[in-house]
Amino acid sequence: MIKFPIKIIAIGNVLYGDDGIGYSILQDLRKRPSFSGIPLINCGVDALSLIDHFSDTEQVIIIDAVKMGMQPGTIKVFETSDVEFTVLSKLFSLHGINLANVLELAELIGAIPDKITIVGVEPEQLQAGKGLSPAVADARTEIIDNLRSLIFECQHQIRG
Amino acid sequence: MSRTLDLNIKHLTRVEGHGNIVVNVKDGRLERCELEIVEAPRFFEAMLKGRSFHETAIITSRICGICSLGHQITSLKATEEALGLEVSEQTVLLRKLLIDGATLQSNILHTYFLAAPDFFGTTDAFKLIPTNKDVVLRALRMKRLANDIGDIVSGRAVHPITPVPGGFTKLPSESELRAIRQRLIDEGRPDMEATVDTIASVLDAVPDFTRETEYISLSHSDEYAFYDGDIFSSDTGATEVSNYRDMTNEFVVPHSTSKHCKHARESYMVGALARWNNNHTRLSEQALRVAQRLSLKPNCYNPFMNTVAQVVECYHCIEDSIAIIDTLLERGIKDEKPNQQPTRYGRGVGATEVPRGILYHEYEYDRKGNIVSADCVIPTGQNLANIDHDMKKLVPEIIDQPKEMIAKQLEMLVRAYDPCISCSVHVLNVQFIGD
Repeated sequence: MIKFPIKIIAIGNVLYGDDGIGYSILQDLRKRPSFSGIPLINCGVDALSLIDHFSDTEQVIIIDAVKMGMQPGTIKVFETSDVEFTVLSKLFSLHGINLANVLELAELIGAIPDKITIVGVEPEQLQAGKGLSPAVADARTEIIDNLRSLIFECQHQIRG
Repeated sequence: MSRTLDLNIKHLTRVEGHGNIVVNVKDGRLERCELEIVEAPRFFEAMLKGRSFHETAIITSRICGICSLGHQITSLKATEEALGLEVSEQTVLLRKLLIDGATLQSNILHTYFLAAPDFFGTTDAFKLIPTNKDVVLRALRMKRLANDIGDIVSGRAVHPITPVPGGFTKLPSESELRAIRQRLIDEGRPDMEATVDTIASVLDAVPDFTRETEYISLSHSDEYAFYDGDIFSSDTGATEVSNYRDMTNEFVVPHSTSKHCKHARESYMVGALARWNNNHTRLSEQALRVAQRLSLKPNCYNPFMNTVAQVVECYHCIEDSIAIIDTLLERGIKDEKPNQQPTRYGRGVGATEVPRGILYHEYEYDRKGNIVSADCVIPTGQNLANIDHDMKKLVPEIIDQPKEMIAKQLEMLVRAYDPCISCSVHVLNVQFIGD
């Protein structure tokens, strides 16, 4: 199977304040020629559908609001192999299924890309009906810079 | 029973949202037995106020990540009714196809990921992977097929974008429809047969319990009603959708942040089992064959069989999807534009059978086409009182069993209703190593 070298995937609910950061970034990327040709996928609140996008790609970048106990708007770029998730399998539900559950499931069924990078943003507020908080909205430029570097790195590796 | 029992199951697992089961039995007397709903209410109705009719369905489709399509279609129907927008036969067929896909997806996920672990005696679906990997892969394959129906027809499966008031902004191509039809035959049918085999093999795990209640669903003389029809009660018969408030009678209870509903009795049931009881004669031949194999009989008063009714509906959705695509291809896809010229401004009610039961949206629009008021009555809210009454009958029947067994059966009962208490916010908790 021919695989995509990389995909960028957003998850989160746009109606829940900072949980919509991933979608907001995707909307921005769609206007930028430097990201054309890269699959930009919004999984919204259906985190389980990430699995459908895992099997045909070498690498995945996931943009998501991540609770890391840091200042709101703080961005962390990390590979899933570098962290321990709070995996609460027992709390598995379809709406509640989170990225940690999906990664565990993908690993168990052997449908995991070689590299998964998470661009995580510490949320300030996750309330229904609110847009992005100023701290998270201000982080957008830096998030896109990070994505550009990750894409460059990926393309460089392929050419190399 | 002379037992004293205190059960408090906090944050029930494998249901959508946050609920607790509380049971107190003192010296054999049932003092308290209820499903507490602790999720904060989500004020979607207030969010809609002042929004244009172009935005309404986009917002309401986000009430729920799993049932987004159901909310969207119901919302569109309410808006079209309020604004007097007629839709074409092609639009109706495409919407029915979308509902088949969404029902298939939701029923499959509930059956395999939320209910099946109970039948297989494990705590979660992940534990099934080492021994039953093929079953989990099949579940994911079926979910993907159902998703792809949504992708083709609505632009994307979660939070669809092309269905708008009056029609669709983009139509599927005939070749896309042909391709998905072929997959329904090549993948969908065999996976469905295998699903039936799997469920048949664990039917003994379905508790033997009955409590007759009132069953409410849409009902239509020509088809197994998902998209359209009158409201039908097994107690009182049919009434028009516009009378929905007479059926739901929402009321506030102290132990739930979600309102309860009742109609002819103290509670009623909505969802797959209610649809089965009210409309089973209009199911496809294949679905009826599957029902027989899975011992689902009309009328079934065992709420634990709701999951089995969902499986039966899955087969119907596959067959109905194939039939709808055949009709669309026979007629040819016409390049229609959505009809968005209101002929009136007022109130409108939309009702659709979404996977968990009958869903109502009602809107009132002003002369600019902006929302003045909105009301959404979701299926899980309608089922909550019925779950409480089931528990009140079940507990005395199983009171002599060990506490864990009682807890397990109560959890199974709540899960059988496939409750969707809320959409969670999908936030990851991460602990950095070394931090």
